[in-house]
Amino acid sequence: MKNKMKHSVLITMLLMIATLFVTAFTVPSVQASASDTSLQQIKQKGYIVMGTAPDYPPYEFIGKDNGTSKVYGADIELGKAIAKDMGVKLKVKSMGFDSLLVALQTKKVDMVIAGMNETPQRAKSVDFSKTYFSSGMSLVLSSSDKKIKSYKDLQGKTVGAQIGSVQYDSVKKGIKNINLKGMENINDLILALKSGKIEAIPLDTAVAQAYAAHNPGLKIIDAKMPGQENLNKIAFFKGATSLENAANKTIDKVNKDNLYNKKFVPEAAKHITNNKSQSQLETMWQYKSFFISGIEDTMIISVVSVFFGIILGVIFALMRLSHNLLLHSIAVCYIEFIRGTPQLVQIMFIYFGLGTVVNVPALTSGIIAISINSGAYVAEIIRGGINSISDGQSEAALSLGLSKKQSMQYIVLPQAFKNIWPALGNELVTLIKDSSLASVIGVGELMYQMRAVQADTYLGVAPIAVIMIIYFVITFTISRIMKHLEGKISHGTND
Amino acid sequence: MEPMIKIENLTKKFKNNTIFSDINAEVHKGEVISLLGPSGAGKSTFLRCINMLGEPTSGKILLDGKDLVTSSEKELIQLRTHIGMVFQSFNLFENKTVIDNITLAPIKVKGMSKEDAEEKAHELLKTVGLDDKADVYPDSLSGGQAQRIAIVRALAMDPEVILFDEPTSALDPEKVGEVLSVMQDLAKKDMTMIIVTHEMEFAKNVSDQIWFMDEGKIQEKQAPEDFFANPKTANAQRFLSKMI
Repeated sequence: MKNKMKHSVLITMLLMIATLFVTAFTVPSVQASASDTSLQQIKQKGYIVMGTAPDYPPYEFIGKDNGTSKVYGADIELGKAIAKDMGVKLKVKSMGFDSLLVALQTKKVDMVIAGMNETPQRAKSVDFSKTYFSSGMSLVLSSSDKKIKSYKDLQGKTVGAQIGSVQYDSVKKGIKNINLKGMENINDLILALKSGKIEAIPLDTAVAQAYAAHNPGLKIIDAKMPGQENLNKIAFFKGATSLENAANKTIDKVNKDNLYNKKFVPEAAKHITNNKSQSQLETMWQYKSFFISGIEDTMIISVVSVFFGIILGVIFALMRLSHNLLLHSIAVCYIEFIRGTPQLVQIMFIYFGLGTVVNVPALTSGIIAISINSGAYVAEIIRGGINSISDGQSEAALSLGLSKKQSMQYIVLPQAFKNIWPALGNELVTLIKDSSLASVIGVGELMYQMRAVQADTYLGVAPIAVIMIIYFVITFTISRIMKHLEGKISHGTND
Repeated sequence: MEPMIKIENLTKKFKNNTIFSDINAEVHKGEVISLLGPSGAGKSTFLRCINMLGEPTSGKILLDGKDLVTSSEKELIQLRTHIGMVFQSFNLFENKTVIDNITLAPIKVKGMSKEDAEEKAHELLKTVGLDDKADVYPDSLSGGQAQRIAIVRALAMDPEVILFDEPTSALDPEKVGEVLSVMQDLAKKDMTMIIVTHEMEFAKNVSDQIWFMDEGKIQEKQAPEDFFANPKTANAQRFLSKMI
């Protein structure tokens, strides 16, 4: 019996995973075979969604506008021009540079304008427009650095570059013996350079200039690396030819009048903030609206996810304790699978994977993923709590004519919750901290806002310190409240 | 007179281990049965089968002619309201005050109003001298108090019969008397009871019948005076010689 049960659990689990993979791999081929109505679709929608990674000034960055954060940049101006020519509105969606092409493939965005260059690898999965801007590769160095004169001097040095960027790839391939550290975020690279963890950062020249201008103690030099002219292009969904052609028309116009240099970059530069005259504390205070909106999203994710997490937890704990083999197996698979995979991966899978079937906004995706994740952990906590209640309690209830459900509801669960209260408190605190993972899919919670402030102020450490304190205040307050409630629910009979 | 409880060919096995088999027995209204026997004879398991807390492997348990073994979940809940049970370890609901322990089932199962249920609970508590404990939680009660309240909790449902599973075994010796005296009062009021116990004196004085159980069978059913004076089987003789 026991053995048979284990077998069926295992088989169900394998089937589940198999289904997952089949779904994941079949989706793109289905989409590719559809005929190209991309431009028509955009016109019907009335808007075009542009994906970008706003940590790349002056191309794209987050700036303040009457206290609220907004994405600015030369690429955004280009996006506006394209949308205008198509007669639709522009919507900008921000995310990590790494996630952009996935977002395009899963149709979260219609085009990607993010200072992106065409590479043979990228060209396999997406289509590229004509070049709208070209710029070279520079090296950002510490101003005291005397040794590095060109890319050749990088041999044997520790160098940092943005993961997924052209610079990362060309340095990796073109320079021998290089100790290359990849990071997702340019601000992190700048911080690493300032603290001496890396010696150089290969960056797009325009971007390098923007960063160096805002960070005293840094200088830039031309990398002088052959074949390193960066040709910035727009990426489209593979086969979206009509859309691409429409965009190319706009690019032709822009190139003819050199609008990008003459108009777009200066327009963007207006929004690059200059905070040099202020103390860091004053600067952070100016950005309080960022942090407040971050707290809001973090709290929304946490509260809603805890709510659904507990509901899911109760359901799956009861299923796992059930004598029904099917329910039991489903619960075991769910709990083991969720606990055996990283939450970050789950968040991305829900956003991009589920996104191929239904269009779910990032915040909702984050809440779904975190609820599902929390549900698995809460289920195990609750199961432990239920098991800790002696059988005599439910037997007494049943002997009085209460149903199994009533016995659970009035006798077992209330006692179980009392016992597991501290563990639930810990889970809540963990969940609040883990909600920061939702920043990868562009949910505007604290972590994400911290990145935005970093990008906007060119301050590396101060925003991190601010959100650290905010997280601590939130979690500390919550654990105090839980402690207080714990005293209340354990009836005060000490006599 | 038709028996209130009729047990036919009741058998219980755990895997290949037979706990008891083919037990036939009857209980009439107002009877007090003491179920005696050595430890491990299956007395408690048998008692727990009578209200289906333990599921018998085969056989029938008829309460007023209705079979509990084959009844649906819903019918079973209904039938159980007629069978009270008092446990060795009291099993008072730890998350509820004494009064809520007593009124929970009358309110939730019988649909009684809170006021009526509480009024009745207070009356019953007075009969066992514990009305002053109505608002405390079980963890502040002594064993004797807890068990008397557990009896009151069973009584609040107006059961036709109450099953007692070694009700005094977990008590300090000086607390045994207070629980037995409550049970004795019930017997006087003609409550039907089946009691698994090791209190020989009590069994002798209060029971109408002694059932002696050993080796998976009820080996003797006798009036107490006969059983204690002339046990028929060698097993019962050996048991009594050890107990007295």
